[in-house]
Amino acid sequence: MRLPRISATSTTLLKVVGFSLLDAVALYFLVLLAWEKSWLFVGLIAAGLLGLNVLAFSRRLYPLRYLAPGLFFLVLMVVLPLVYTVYISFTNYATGNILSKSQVIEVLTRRYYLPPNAPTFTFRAYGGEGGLYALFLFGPAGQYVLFPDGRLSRAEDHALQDADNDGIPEAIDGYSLLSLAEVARLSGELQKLEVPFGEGVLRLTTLSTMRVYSPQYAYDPVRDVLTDLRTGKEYRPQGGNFVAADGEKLDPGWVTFVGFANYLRFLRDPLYHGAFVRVFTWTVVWAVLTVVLSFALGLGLAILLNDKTLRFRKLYRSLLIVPYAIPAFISILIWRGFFNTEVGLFNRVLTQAFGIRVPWLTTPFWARFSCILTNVWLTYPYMMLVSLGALQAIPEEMYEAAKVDGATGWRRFVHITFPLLLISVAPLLIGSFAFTFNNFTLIWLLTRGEPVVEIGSRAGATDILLSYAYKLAFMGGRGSEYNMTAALAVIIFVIVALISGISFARTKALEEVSRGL
Amino acid sequence: MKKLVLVLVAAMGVWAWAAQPGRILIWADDTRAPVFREIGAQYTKITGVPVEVVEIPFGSIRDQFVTAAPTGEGPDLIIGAHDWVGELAANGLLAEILLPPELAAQFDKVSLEAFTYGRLYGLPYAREGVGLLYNKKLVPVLPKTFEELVELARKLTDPTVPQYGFVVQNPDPYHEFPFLSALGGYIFGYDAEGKLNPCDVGLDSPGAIAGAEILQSLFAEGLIPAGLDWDTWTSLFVEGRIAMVITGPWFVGRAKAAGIDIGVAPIPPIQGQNPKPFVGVQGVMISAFSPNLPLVYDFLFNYFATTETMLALYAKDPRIPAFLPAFEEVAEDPILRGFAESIANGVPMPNIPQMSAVWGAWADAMSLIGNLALSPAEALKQAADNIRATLGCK
Repeated sequence: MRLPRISATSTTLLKVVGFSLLDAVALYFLVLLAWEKSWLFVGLIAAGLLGLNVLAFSRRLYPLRYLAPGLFFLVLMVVLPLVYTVYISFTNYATGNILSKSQVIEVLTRRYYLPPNAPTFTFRAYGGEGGLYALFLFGPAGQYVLFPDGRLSRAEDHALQDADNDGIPEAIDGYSLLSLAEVARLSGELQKLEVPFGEGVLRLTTLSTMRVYSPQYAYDPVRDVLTDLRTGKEYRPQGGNFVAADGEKLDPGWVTFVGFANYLRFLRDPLYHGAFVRVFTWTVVWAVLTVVLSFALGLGLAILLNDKTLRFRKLYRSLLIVPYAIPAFISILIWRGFFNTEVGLFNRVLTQAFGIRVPWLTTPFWARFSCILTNVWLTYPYMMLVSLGALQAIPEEMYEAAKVDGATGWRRFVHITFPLLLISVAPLLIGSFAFTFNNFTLIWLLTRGEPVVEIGSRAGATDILLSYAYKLAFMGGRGSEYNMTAALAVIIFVIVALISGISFARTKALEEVSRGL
Repeated sequence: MKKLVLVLVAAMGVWAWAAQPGRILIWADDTRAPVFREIGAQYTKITGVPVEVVEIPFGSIRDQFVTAAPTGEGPDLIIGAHDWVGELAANGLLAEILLPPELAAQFDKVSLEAFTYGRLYGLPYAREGVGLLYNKKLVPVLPKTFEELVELARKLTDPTVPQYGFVVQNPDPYHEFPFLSALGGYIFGYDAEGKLNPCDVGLDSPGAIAGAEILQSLFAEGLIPAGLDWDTWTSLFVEGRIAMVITGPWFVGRAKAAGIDIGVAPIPPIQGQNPKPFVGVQGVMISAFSPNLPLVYDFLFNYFATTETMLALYAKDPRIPAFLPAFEEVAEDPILRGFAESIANGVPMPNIPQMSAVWGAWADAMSLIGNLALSPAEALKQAADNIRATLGCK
């Protein structure tokens, strides 16, 4: 069946109609959101809508139509987290400092204490057509009638109608008792009620009780000072917390800018940088060895499989790709089981055959060995695949020419295969290096960075920079230290960017060499 | 209009999870969510206040709450563990619970204490801790003292089979703590006001070292394999290859499912002194940013703190009730009673946020003690010094 041909004008018409509909719906939601004062979403949606329309109708921006989705996700998933991480690394965002200052003041001024002998009242609500009339309060401290405007009067001054004599009137001043459901509906209004009573204020506790509370702190916005009403002690804002003259610091604090303080702390405090050099060294060793070994293995297998005289090539190739096909999450955990000192497969076999037990994951050397072994197993199929592809791209004539010149197999590999292969594979190796450098998944699932090297050090023997940063976040002096982790993440980012940058510059040199061939 | 906006907001994701006036929103994990849905429905019937329960994995409730609560996107209530209290309260995210005294008297004292961080920040419902869980077929007569237990373990252990008489998960500070605490070791001491003092680190106190030496002798003798993780020992236990283990109620279901006849008792006294396991407490915490505090207090005091609710929770999640009237109803169960007796000797796991500095260093020390790489005195001293340095206590 042939589709009816659509002319250019009708496509434009279709586009105009479609976008009008889209814009209409979006505008409707914009109005709703503005109504709800969700300005952030209003801004985002408006900007997105405008962008879409410009893209769709501007001729000049036509090429951008194809780039826009990619750019959008690049900004959303790469640039934004990066900017946010950098921002966090310049703040004090950690346990105890996650609110804004106004929230901290709100939390602190809503702290109450119970004055000595603070009375508790049970209450019932009364009302009629016009809604709530009054609350009837009773308890050991007496009986009162409380009006929604905060007036408090003695129960004797009102007409209480208590036919069954249970102490709870059925009606007050002609208004009848409200049900619990009605009180629940009124709770939003009732909880705002604060009535001075004795040494404190009478406030709603539950749907049937009121209690006298005293606020613990008062905030003076003019002087920017918080006062403890019981002791008269004054607290002034300092570095994200209210601090008294004697150094007492109030929790919670708020998020504030601290400049380079986190980076300086990282440089000065051995608790943070103490393990850095060791972890960095191991991370480099781990990434280099993984890439080199898995590339060597992958290339070797690729050359074997590339030999057309080999039988069952396809079968071998399929089997060798298996490690790549199994999700790493599963295979890493299986390897972890193999390495178990007591019941693991490796040690069972080794004990049966040779009577030895290797402490695979419990001593630093063997744990590092196990990490690299596992990762080589996981990575070589990828290396084999890219090498296979690259090998097939090397022209046959070159080998024939080399044969004529009398070059042996090894010399052909060194002078033809390897240099030509590297041109296409080197960027992939750099990518693989950067990936392994930050391969948190494998380290975390296999060893969690263990075993211990030094008590209390933030990093174990197999911790790479990234897992070290993660541990720093949750092993701080007081809960989570997101600020320190963000600072370390920025440092790692700079390191990886530098290494990759230099490597790519080198690859260019490689390409120039190949041109000379 | 409002509804439409809500629908739109729901489509945008997490906003629908946020607390709203006139509605109680609870975050609970998959075991607790159904129970809270049930009692919530009853509360709605009586008061007309809708109660919604959002199911969130236990491991992520705290972190999501820390992110969501300050932006007003959090719930009114979360169901969690008492050792979250320090961090959450220090962040200013929890509302204090001023518990009426007559209600407070109905709760287990240690459990309330566990939820106290200067003020009471949670209402407990269950407590738990480790005890000595044993395979009745392999241990017909329970040893009376720890010394007898070691004797029995020697007879039953043969690593080549493999077969073990007595094990403890390691390196694992939580499970190994009873050894350290038996002879007087502790994590943080108390100050004059009865509050935990983070600068009084008791990990290298003589009692802790003496206890760790006893533990190390078990590793040295080959009675307990070093680096015994949860997966390994549980699979050995259900195959009937372990006679006694220090573990908690969370393992009971698995052992029973494997058809093993188990018993539970307190860990026998070491040199005549009772080991003190950590007590962990589960309970309900209130967001400081809840717009519905009276409703939430009403719900907790009048509908949550009742024997029926507590028994319903027990049926779904059989941990020792912290609400005493409910505890008395179920105290007949011998396994539950075994754990209850064990933690009656216990101490609440410190809930102050400074605990985060303890776990890592302490686990490192226990690992080196288990590997026989360091003497307990040296390892615990290093760990304690490191903790003091991290907490700035010098």
